[in-house]
Amino acid sequence: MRILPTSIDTRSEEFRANLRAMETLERDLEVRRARARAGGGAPASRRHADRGKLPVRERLTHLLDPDTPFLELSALAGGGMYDDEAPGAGLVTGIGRVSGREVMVVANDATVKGGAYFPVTVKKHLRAQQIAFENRLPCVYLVDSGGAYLPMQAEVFPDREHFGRIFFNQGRLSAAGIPQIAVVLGSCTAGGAYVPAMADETIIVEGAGTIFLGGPPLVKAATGEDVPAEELGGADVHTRLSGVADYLARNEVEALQTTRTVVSTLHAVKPPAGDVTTPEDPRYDPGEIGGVVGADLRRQYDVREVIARLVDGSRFDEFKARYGPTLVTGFARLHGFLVGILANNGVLLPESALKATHFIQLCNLRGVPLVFLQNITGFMVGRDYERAGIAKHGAKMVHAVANAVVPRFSVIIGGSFGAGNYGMCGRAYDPRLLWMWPNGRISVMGGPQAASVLVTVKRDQQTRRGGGFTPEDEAAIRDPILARYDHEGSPWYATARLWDDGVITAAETRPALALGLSMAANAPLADPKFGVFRM
Amino acid sequence: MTRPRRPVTVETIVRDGDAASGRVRISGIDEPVEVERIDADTYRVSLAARRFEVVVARALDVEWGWVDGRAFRWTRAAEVAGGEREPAGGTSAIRAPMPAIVTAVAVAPGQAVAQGDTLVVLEAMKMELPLKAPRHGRVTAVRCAAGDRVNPAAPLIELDDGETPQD
Amino acid sequence: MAAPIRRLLVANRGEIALRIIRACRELGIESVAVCSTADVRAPHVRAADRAVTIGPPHPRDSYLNAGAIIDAARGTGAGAIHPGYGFLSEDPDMAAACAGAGLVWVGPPADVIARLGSKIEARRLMRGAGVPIVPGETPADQTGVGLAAAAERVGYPLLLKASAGGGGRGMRTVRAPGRLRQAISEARREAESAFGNGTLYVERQLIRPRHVEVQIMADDTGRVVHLHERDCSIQRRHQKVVEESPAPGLTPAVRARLTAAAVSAARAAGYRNAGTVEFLVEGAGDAADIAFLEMNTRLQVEHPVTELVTGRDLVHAQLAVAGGGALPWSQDEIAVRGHAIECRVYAERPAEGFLPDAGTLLRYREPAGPGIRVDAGVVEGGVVSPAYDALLAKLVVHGETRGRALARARAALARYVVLGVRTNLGLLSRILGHPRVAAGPVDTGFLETTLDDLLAEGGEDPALALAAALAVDARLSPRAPEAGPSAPDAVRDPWSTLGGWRLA
Repeated sequence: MRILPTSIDTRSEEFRANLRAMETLERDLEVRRARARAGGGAPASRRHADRGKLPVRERLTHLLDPDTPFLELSALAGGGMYDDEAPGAGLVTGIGRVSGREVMVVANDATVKGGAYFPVTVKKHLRAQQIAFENRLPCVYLVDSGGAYLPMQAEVFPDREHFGRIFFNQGRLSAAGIPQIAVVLGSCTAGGAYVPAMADETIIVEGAGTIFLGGPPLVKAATGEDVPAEELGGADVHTRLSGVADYLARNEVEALQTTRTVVSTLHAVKPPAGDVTTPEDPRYDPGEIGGVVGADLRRQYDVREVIARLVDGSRFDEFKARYGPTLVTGFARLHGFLVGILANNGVLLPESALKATHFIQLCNLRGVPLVFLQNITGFMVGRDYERAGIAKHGAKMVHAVANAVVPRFSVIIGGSFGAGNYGMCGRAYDPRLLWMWPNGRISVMGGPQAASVLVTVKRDQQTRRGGGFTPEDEAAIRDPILARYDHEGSPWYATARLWDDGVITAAETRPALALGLSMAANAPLADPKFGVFRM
Repeated sequence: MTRPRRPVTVETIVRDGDAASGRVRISGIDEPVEVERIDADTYRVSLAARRFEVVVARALDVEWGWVDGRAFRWTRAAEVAGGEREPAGGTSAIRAPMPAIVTAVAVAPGQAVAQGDTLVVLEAMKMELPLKAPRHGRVTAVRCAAGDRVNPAAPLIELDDGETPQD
Repeated sequence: MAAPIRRLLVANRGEIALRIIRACRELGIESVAVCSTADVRAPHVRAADRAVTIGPPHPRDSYLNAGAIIDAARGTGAGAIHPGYGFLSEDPDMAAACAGAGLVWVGPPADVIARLGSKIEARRLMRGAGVPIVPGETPADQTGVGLAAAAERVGYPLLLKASAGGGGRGMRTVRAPGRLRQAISEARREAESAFGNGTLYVERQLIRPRHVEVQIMADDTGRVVHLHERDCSIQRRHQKVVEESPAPGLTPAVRARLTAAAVSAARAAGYRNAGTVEFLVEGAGDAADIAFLEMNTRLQVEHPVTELVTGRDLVHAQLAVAGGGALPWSQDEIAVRGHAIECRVYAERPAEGFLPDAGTLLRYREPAGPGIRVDAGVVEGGVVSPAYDALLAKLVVHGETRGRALARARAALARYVVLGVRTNLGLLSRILGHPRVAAGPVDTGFLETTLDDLLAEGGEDPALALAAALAVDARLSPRAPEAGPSAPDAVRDPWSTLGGWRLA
């Protein structure tokens, strides 16, 4: 493979200004992550500790193989929502390794409203199960939750993608041979009781874990019976009398150790890796990406400079380098895994879309995972391009993306606007994982463009009616739209709502993709098949 | 001044792991070559009847080769992925790749430019698109001005194969 | 007051600091290195028994910061300071400050440095001692008019020099009166920035002179010996590039005149410790003229050539004398055996106006073998900083005859691997291979006049470049076996290799 050159001067003013801008955003990310990690805050954490319970991230440490990575998902979910009362959506999800096996971990953070399920908590839980399903990852649920957040029950309970879907998924996952393991570390009340009950195997902690359909207050109200929680649905009851749980642990640490033992008996072996080479660091420092990219989306740079800082040895075999140059396609190794990369280097032209389609077909037939580096304002517009069939060429690209069976990963490294988002494997196209960089923006079109469209429409209306249209009228339409696009297009707004699997820094992208590629190798590929390409 | 370079062609070269052999032609001289790896950074190069030990190293975009007390360095730009290089010599036009508005012209006629220097900045689809010099040269004509609306393939800057700036 | 040195602070960096630290080890003296923040991982810091960081990279804030250095000596309990060459080595204030702080200064006393550092004083001293001098003066009137008048008295061509310093800085050759004005302003600017003093000295430039210098050594009892001469005529802009000993083609009579004049000069100055008396030699045979140029009150860069031909260790002697000891040798014990040549290896780009080069030493391998000594200040993987002198190392060879020494030096240069920064190694080899150098003595203008020829690529063997290119190409080509799909699982598996990685 050929080594990408670089023409970046790390001493240049431009580089340093870009780097500073990106570092400011990354610091913001750090602060937001720290806030999310703090969960329900100090008093809630103290109460949690007083009950002899471990903080959720410490539970993970006991569960995961020592000194191994954890690929946390959507750590900033719920940020800015519900008056900021659900940091991290009160749920920690991510992929880690337990007893040598990659698993999906779904862990309630009881310091956040007792681990209650807000609408976005449900979404995060379902997303974790979807990832587990697509990649055949055994699920470990660390349960410590009071169930649905009752004040919002209408947005949590009744619909297809609401609370009930969690148990539906557990049933389907189990049937698909993807093990479901629950560890009961706190209360599992009402609907919550089904997480352990639906699991293949359940571990429960004596004195802390309880499972019941109705808690003591409900029982008292319904039947007048006065039963302490432990007697109603404690560890002893469920492991000895009811059989709702399988293993009794005297404390959390023992429970998590037992879980590791359970995982070691799953008898599910990852398919042997195919063509994977010895990983090699990029020749150029991934820490320089910020200086290449900066925070100003209007400023174009050569995306090969980014690729050179992500892939093994900065080696990249570019495919169709001379054709449709606004999209860069080619093969590289990422932590030893062969990947096909599609990276925007300008607006999508008809040729770029055709090239993308060709390249996706190639990778799909060869079983090469795809990595989309998304920085796209859209498909080119204008008379010549419509006549050239930009719509049908774009459609071919979208077809190819929609039907590719190889694992696809998307990273929004800049703008994600309009149909460009579709062609470059946006959320709706089910990439195995999708991340956004802190400089990213996502919306149907740019704020200024949206404002200008609406202003034009309004002005035409007024003119038809013979009315005037002052600059003040224009500002009255434009300014709120700009403000709204600015707010809703930000990565924080996006990631809070699970439009992605997390905001990560440029430097975190390589390890995150490596873990993702390894994760994806757990699932066999379906047979490649495409629909009708409009020619 | 550009120095006349010897035309060197290396005829490939059968590779076998770390070793290679083939033929090389320099100005009509036609000799067999063999390259053999001795350790991580040392190669033995047999060229006709002579044998050289070469120590190689690399840093970012520079390749180094040491042989017999001489150190040679190459910047890698010459043989890299995606590197489409305009043939040297003559005049060539830098053209608009798509319909766009010229937002800035960074050069003036007569100005010497180095490869990678920004010549013109276009704006299209709400993106700034800097057009860069594909090679060293001298600007012979500027055919656009800031504010111009330009069509695809419109010549914007004429660049001649002027003197190579000191590198 | 002087007592044997037990712990020595080395107020320098690079090869000379290493050279001195090595001597300390040999003598059982504890060494203390000082370094700037740019040098904390430098080889001299690692070599010393302990090290003190004395300031930011700029020499002004570190290696020229007398206060910080003396504090470092006090703080580490060092009893003596060796200044090496350059930096503070010829600063009388530093020597005085040392004495004031009760520290031994490895060099002559402050007043001697001051006296010899002043061109006027030095010349007066030499004239008094009967040592021939080059016509020249430091006019009291330092205006353009005053300097022009002095120039007329001295005669053209002439040299403008910084009165306060050496090393070629603040120095300009003026061949005709019309060039004087510009040369004055340039020389003054350089002198001011290098030495903080713009006073200029006007000196007659001799016709095709050679630069020959005599190493002397003196102890506290006033005994002075010389260690014969060195020829340093191969210079560029008054920077020595190649030095050798003995000086080729000198008749015994001229050699005797030079050494005798040097010893007289040292005696007249009340000299202590190691020093060098520089002369210009004009003409050939017994009739050659010698003229005192200046006296350097420190160890010279090129001292190893003297060490190789005399078999005497100058740094050992410096430390012994500074510690109050007597000279370790008498004059008749000091004989010259064979021939020694030193090549200064610089990180620079000869083809591009000798711009200093900086970077990481990707490969650095010194030649070795009988008669080869390399005094280096760098190691493979180290960084050559643009903040300091570009001298990487000195290759010094010894041979039975001058011809054998030249051959040995060229062979050694051809085995010297330096990749990562550009160097003058190729140029050095071509200098030593030049017919005029092979034939014998050259004058100080040799390098300037032949430089274009030496730098021309004409003589370059294209096979070398081709061989290098083929190897680089072979390395860039994919190597299937190493990167094959057979990599062991633990190496390929990111879950095993990424450690406890988290989204931070």
